[in-house]
Amino acid sequence: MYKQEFINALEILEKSPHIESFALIGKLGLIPQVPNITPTLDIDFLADINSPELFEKDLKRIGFCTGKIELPEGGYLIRFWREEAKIPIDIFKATKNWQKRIIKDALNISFLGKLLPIARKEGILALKIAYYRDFKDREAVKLLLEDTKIDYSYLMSLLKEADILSRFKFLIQELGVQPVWEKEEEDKT
Amino acid sequence: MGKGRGRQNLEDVPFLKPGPLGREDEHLYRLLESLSPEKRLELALEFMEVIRELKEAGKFLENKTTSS
Repeated sequence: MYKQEFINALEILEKSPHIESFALIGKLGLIPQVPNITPTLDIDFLADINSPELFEKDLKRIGFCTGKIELPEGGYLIRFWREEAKIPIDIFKATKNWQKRIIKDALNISFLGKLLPIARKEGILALKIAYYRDFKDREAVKLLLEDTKIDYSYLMSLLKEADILSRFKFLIQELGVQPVWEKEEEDKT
Repeated sequence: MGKGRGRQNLEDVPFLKPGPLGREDEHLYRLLESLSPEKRLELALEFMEVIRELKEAGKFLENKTTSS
């Protein structure tokens, strides 16, 4: 059920003429990159969609239920699921350049016999900061900030482009964490 | 088949109105709640399998990164 829904979603995204490119995001996207992350069921993709209306129309035509969820920060996601399976797939529409860059910089992994593009962890962290939900993002954000292998300059360039640097600084204060790269800087001095 | 099954806007569904978890999470939990216990078990097992596969793929990713 779950596995099949995942594969179906992947095939839909690959074949749809309304999807330019896409990458797996969310905690599932972090699983191959961050060893201690707690996975959740949601299957989230970031996608460059050229016609969301036609994409949704196609989904309905092949029997999916669909819904559009507006996000308080702006932007929206398209959720689709089969009535029988109840596993929702969320497609977050990439509207900004920094979001499209996350898709462009995605890493390809071999998964269930397919090539699956996954957003780099720095990209997923930038998205989590931009759309932060404390009850579900706290653990992942803390883990990523303490990840010694994070590409700090890439993360910063995304945060700057997204204009969320001040939000990021506020968040690290709120979480009471010191990002690993700041600790390294302190150790050097 | 598709007629009448899809929803234009989740806000139109009373139980999907934003709760403390946020609309998207509320909706996800409602969908999962409606599964039978057998289906939930099946879902959990397959979910674990997907996680294992992703972790395996991650090992390869790490090897690739370190060897490059």
